[in-house]
Amino acid sequence: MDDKDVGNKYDRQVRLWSPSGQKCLSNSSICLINANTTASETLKNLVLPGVGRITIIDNSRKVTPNDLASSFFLSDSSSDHTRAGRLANTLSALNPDVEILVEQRSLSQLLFIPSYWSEFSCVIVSQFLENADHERLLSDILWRINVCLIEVNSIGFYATLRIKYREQEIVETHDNNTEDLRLDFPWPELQGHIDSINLDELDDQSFSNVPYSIILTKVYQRLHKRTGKRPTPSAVRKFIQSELRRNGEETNLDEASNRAILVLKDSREIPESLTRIFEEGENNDGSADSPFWPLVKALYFFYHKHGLLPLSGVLPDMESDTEQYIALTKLYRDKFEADKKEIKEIFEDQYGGTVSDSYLTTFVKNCKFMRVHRGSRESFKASLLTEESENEDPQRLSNLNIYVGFLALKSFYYEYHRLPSVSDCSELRATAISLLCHYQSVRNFPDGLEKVLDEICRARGSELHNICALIGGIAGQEVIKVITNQYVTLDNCMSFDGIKAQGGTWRI
Amino acid sequence: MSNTELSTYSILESSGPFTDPEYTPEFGKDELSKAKILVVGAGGLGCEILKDLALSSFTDIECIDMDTIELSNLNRQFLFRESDVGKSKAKVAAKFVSRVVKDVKIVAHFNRIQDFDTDFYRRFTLIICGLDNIEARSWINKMVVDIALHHEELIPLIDGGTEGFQGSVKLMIPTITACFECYMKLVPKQTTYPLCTLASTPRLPEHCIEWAHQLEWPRVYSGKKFDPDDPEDVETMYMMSLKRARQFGIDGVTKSKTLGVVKNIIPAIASTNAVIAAACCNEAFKFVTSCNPNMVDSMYYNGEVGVVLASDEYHKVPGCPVCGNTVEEITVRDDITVKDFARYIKEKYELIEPDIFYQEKDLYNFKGNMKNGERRLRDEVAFEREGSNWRCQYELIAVDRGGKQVRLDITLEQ
Repeated sequence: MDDKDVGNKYDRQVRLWSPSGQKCLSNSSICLINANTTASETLKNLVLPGVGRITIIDNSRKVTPNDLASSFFLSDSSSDHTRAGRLANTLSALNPDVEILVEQRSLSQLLFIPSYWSEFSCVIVSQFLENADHERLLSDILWRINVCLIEVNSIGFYATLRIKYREQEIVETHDNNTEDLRLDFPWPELQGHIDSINLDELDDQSFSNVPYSIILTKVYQRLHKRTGKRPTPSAVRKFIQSELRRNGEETNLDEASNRAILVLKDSREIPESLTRIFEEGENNDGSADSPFWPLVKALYFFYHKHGLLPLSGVLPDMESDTEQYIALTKLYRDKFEADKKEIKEIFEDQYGGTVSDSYLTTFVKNCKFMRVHRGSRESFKASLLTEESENEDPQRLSNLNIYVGFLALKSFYYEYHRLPSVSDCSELRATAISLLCHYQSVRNFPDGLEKVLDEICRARGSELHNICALIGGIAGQEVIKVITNQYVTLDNCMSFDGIKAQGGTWRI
Repeated sequence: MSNTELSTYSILESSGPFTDPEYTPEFGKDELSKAKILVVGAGGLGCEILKDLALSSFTDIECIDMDTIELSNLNRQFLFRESDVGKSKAKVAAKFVSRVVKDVKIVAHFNRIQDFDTDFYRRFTLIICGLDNIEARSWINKMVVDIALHHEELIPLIDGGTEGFQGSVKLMIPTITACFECYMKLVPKQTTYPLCTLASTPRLPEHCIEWAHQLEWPRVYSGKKFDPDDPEDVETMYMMSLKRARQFGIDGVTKSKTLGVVKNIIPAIASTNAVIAAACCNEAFKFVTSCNPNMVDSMYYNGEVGVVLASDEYHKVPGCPVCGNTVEEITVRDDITVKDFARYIKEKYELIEPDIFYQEKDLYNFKGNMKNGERRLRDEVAFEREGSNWRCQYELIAVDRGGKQVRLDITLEQ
């Protein structure tokens, strides 16, 4: 975190996504379609952390009693009677840094201007568009220009969220496991350092200051020499206890014993997600403005050559004295810099690009846990219902039923141009059946779907404030992840059950 | 907009497929209009909770917070403006919400929770906590459990907590479900650094900052307390830490990190607070109106990797120092032996080596000096007839090593 942000109003969040993330936020431009309660709760969570600009498209709709019935940000007493106008007024007061615009043109006009949409970092649709054509047109435009579309919905005690993104490359996933000690594959400089420490010759004081990673590497190598195999954690603990213990007070040996499990970690192994990225990288030339895919290729070349990824350089705290610990930190940092330099050379030699040092540093430090999400434009995947019906966990099916319930609700809305009420239960059921037939997945009506549909009708088309606030919180969080390109975005849809307080997520 | 026109009233109009069959719309509306809710904390969670409650048609709300508004609150505490800095959080928040939502009455208390006594807390239907520290939560928890034990009034406590992208909600019915104290074993311990590391072998920037904070500041400025809200004090602390770090060749001491360590700053964002506060108020709404069942004991949310949102059961901890002073009702076979009974109790309540006794008399222990192990329980302790079963005349007590205690009310069944 940059010291200029200390104590300012963004202090508590910049500690999570750093000044670079905050800069992405303040440069971002968000579009919101349909200014209902869920929308206003979502926008509140974007105005407060300081996005750059918000554009509201609401077709000049007037504030209705139904809107006032659940919204905090529409009940402004100003003379403006449009929802978008009022929302812009009340939200502007929350944070003067954010510019909030009301789009005067209607959505149907804007759908004929594909270039209009390219300025947005993300487009949020709350509730449903007027008809299926609008939905398809908007989704097609955004898919073509790779702008993220987020659909958020809430009715009664239920809510859903769907993210449609063609491709997202996330480097800064903030994974908690970036420490990479290389106990099993020390590089020559580290090995030299380890060999220079002769445990038997050290006095008790110096002995108890040897960092545990050095102890574990030494024990690993001794046992490996003896048996020719990777040692087990229990063998390591036994060795420490019987051959290294002097007075039982050495806290560095306690740490080494407690972390003996680390000897099982094979430094050559890479996560499944990275293997897939390497496979994709072979055929992906990427876009001209991002060095991501060429760097993936350079990384693969490096991995292929060394059998190891570049070192992350992250060293945990270890019981030690200052001198030994700092010396070790320097070794890890130098190796990180050397690996980074090699990646840069491969990148420049073979792919002829340029990359900033800060991007390269972030890339190399986080490369093991990078993610690439590939989305879909479909609303549903037929196999989901079959999978979840066979699944042991009834809650997952129950959450999927809610998602299906909202699909039925949307069809109902497109057909009748209103939301169902208690008297519409049989119509909504009929809509759900034809929907399931369309996806050819219906052998039986899924267990429990009927109850979900009845609960939806019970809400009489109204939004419950708490549920709007909850899904608006999640939607806000996902938009922030998309804009900062940090942490791992939902991949790619979810539903929330406000009766059981359970969420379920799927990939479509 | 009057509160009866809010959308909450339309969901109360009819039962849903999951609603208790005895529910009636009159009951739901009546309970909602009678309910008196206390909100403890008017910060990040509190602002959201007050808004959510008001828009859930609760009309009688009180709110306690001893804090005043700071600039760094404004990225999430949306009821406050820059011009409010320095004012009471409770008062500004209450005023803002009452202005926007008609019909709601919010009484604000610019106080510590300890300023009020049992009679104050007994007035509420339900209490929601949006706090940032363990001490205050434990205090409120003990208050509601004591009220349940001594006045036989059950005031549900709903606790929300957030840290960065994560948060949780606990629904606690005093003496019936797990209390806040029962959850304490899940609470991670705060990081502390050994004094000798700070004094002689610093390795991390945090060690240098804590050295300045705990050792150097009191030495240099004996008698003058460090004020984390005074920019000059912060600057001095930062320079002290930086000097220490340079001396030892340690990188990474920044002013931001200095402030984070000395104030023990927990990252906080609007969206997580929104999710957790809404989940708290949703449970409060269901509890008061009965329009739908409540969740099981606790809900957990994590937005770091995708969206994790799940609720789980959590059991009372027998012998809990706060709520464990209740009697466990258990039923066993009428021919069970003393030894089998003792083993059953030991396993059921996860005890290590309990002594079981009644009225100061030993019934059984695991030290091997009791000769009655093979005898039947009913021949060792007096039972009396109750319907078709037998009920123990005495309360049995199992005390484990370390003092954990379970009180037992035994019924024998054929």
